[in-house]
Amino acid sequence: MNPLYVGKSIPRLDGLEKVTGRAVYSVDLALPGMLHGDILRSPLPHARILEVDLSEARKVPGVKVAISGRDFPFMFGGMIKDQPFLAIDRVRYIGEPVAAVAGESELACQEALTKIRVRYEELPAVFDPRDALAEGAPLLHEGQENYTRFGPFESVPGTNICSTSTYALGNVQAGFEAADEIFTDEFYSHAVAHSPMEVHAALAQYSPDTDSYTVWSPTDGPHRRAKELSDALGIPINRIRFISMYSGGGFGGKGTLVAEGLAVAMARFSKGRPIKVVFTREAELTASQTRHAAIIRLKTGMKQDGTFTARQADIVWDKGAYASKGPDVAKRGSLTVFGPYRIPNLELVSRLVYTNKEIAGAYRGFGTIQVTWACEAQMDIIAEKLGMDPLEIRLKNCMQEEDLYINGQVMRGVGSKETLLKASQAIGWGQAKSSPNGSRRRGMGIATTLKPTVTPSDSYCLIKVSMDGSVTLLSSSVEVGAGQKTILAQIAADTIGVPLHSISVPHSDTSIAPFDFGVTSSRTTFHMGNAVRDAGGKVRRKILEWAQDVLKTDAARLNLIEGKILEEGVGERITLQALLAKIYQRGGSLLEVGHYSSAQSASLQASPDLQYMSSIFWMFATHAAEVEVDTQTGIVKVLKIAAAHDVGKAINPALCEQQIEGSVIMGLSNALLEEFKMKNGRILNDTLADYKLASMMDIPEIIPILVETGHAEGPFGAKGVGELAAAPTAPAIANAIFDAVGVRIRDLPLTPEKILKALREKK
Amino acid sequence: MKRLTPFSYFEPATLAEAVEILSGSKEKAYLLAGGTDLLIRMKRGEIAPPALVNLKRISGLSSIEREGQSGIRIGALTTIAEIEHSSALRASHTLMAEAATALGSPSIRNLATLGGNIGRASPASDMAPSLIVLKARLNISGPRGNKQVGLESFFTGPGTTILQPGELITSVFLPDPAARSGAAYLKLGRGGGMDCALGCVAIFLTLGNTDTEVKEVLVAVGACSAIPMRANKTEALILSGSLTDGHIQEAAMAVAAETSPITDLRASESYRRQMVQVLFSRALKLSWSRARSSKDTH
Repeated sequence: MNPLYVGKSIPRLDGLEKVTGRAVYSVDLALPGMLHGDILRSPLPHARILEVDLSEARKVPGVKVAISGRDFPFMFGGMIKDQPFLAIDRVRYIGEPVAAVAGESELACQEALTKIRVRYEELPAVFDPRDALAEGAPLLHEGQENYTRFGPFESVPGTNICSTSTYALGNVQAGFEAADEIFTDEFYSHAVAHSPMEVHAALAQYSPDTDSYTVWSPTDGPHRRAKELSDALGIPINRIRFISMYSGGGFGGKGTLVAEGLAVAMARFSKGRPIKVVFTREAELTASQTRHAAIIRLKTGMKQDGTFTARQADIVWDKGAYASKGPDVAKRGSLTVFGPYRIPNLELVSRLVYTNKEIAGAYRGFGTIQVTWACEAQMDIIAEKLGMDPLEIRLKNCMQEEDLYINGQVMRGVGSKETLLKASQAIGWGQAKSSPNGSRRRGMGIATTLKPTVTPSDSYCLIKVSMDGSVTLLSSSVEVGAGQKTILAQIAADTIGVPLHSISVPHSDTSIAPFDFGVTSSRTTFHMGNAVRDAGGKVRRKILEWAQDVLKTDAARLNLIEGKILEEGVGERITLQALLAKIYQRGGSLLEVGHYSSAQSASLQASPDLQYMSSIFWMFATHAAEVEVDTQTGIVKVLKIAAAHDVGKAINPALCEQQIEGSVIMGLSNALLEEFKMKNGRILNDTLADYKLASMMDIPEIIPILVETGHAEGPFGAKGVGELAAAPTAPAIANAIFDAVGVRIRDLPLTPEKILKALREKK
Repeated sequence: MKRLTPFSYFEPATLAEAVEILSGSKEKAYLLAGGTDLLIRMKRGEIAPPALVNLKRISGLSSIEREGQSGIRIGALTTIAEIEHSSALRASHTLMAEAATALGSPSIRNLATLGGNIGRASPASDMAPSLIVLKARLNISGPRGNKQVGLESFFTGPGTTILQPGELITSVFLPDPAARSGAAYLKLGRGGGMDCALGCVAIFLTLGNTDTEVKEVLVAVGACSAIPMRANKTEALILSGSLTDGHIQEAAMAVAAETSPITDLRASESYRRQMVQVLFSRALKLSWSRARSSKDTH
């Protein structure tokens, strides 16, 4: 049966609510008896807390709660339990929460914060991960080996190495010996802010009677957050209820407890009154989470014909003060430093290093964006030296259908080559450059990448059909803005055979909707989509069985389309609503559970002990950029970006294209403009006036291209798109700058000052 | 969300009332017009004004009117967007529209006022360099009556002016430019829009009898010294010869030497110095070409 909704650019279900301003975000919520919470943050990068005196703060009229870390002495962390809700005896970065107050008004809280007296004993601090690795560096987490670890994350006791991993395949030494040319380069990928429109915000309410918490939050993984709180507080998961809100942009930044943990800590002391915590933009920029900065050293051996003999990669990740999702970023994200290429001999060392800075966490790409910067910049360095065309060298080495991944997994649905061809074609690769005008020079660049999705992982959903035939899809896939609700409704409508408008997709509530790993790693369409296929198929079969009984015919002759039951050769027999009226004469609802786990897929098979590196699907993307560089100012104007993405199958092409367009803008913004200006651990540009994001004036023509290779195990052949999408943008732009003016910038961002300096040095 | 700490608040209905409040206030009163800068600094706790005097209830301070044959008067409460879209200004002082378009975003321009922009005395003001080269004079009211001062002598440092307690800017007068003149405003920010200038240059130039002879030139530079400054030495150098590529390059070196940029979040001192040369050369060439194609008389 041809799907009626899947594959079509259906307008998003949340569109009207959002464009009218009626959509409710955590910031907008106001509950009866609600108090406002505010946070006192550390002014020092590293210090012992000797005393926190809250007595004067408690006297401020309207203030109901004033606490410090000693009042709520729990630790949390989804990967490593290394982080206090509020600093207990030590602060490790400027902006770390030290005390919290809640009161009747925001102004009362602000006043109370000024009355808290904290005595610190300053400790030596370390800001550069290379310094933090040095012998005798000040330690952030002495005794870190005693922290609870939820995963194979190896620390190095007595150092600042939060976690480390290595991988080797073949024999790199032999590979280097066989090489005609060896390339050694160091690249730097900088920290950037997620910069969502909606700052971090959450509400929490504690019930003293049942010792339970309710949290209203836009987090991308409500069930995992509930588990993290449960692990931290030592209470069962069912006493922690997460009610999801619309998320005004997450990009990974809302994938850990941020505002939630602070609201929960205060709620414990407010006698049942809910507490709302809303970050200021300053706190969002300086004390939420960032992308990990990374120093990436690549040594690559090449044959003169442009094939690889070996690559050695050494990556140092700048962790900031606490683990957050860093251990997995450093472990899984590092692997794509080998690109979508056939490289016979590999060696990788990845170290994640604590520093006295804002916490780094998950950021769109989960490490892929950083290592792609290095891999793809070096690819052009290699191509130039070998006298090859940048497109040609990529086409020569890119993975093909049924190639083995570096762990031995057979790769299927490999659209690498097609994305290279389509993106390069759309940008006009190989055509003569338009004539330069005055001081301006034009150039083109290309970059490609691949990314796995978190594997294995699980998604569950519930589909409820009410007695009138209307359908409710209960899932914990939060609408983070990418159109999750819409595509899941499209899949449900086509799977069951009901009209799209008969389906509602409420926000997740962990007390009702079953477990989902989270809206992360571009996994929702594939995993939750498959769970919806599972539940929807069960619903459909049940309905057709009932129809068989009611209509006294063979179910095999029946079909359910758009809420109507049709019989082969006869036509419409009965509507779903009329059928259910007969079944549920005294009321009722049809309820089915859907489940998908990638764990059992045979496609994950790999070399012994290496299956953990397999991915249930692989995403491929190529961006090609055309830029114009002003050689007098160093300013880069991006003229055009063609972005080809292998999405498997576009459930909703418009939403896929929007993901690509948004990612290109994000990638361009952090390649050219975004940067933290730091001094002694302090972020100086803590406003959007000085932390520059791309504006409409910076956005080039964007050509999104969907490549649909199809995936045998994906719903309707779909894979994912959102996470990988920003990764090739920065190297494509940098490579285009090199093509235009012959300067190679190895450290992001690509600022006019750096380009101008390089141009002058070249002369 | 950050809340403002309490302050006294006044809404005078007339200019006289405003002057009276400002002169009589024991606390330091800040003037509120568009609020695009003031309220942000208050929220960030950079300033905590004990009193705010909202000027927006005073009528007659937001018009753009011709003043006989001599020039045009812009009320202090005129928004930057009104300046950007004024057909009267586009006809006689196109440079004002050019500068207005460079300021902030459309939403900021809808609120921000000319008087506020001048009174804030930001070294990086988008309006000040153009106003200086257009020989703007400020009409100021105060407890001792009205007076007029040239904008060039108005600024005393970053955020400070010659305004005495009780005084406020009521309007800006721009004399009509001479025939065979052209002007340009060029600004460099980070990214394509909505940035505070890291360097900006305004030039007004009147040609003499030939297309390469400069009769008069005014150069003002922003974001490269403590105040929006007039580059007198550079002007003298330009006047000392006829306009050639070599002479323009020489003048560009002079303007870089005349400014005193600093390193801050937005740019380094050396980048600013290089950019001021580039902006200057481009602005000079642009105003020159505009002067050549301008009508002989206004």
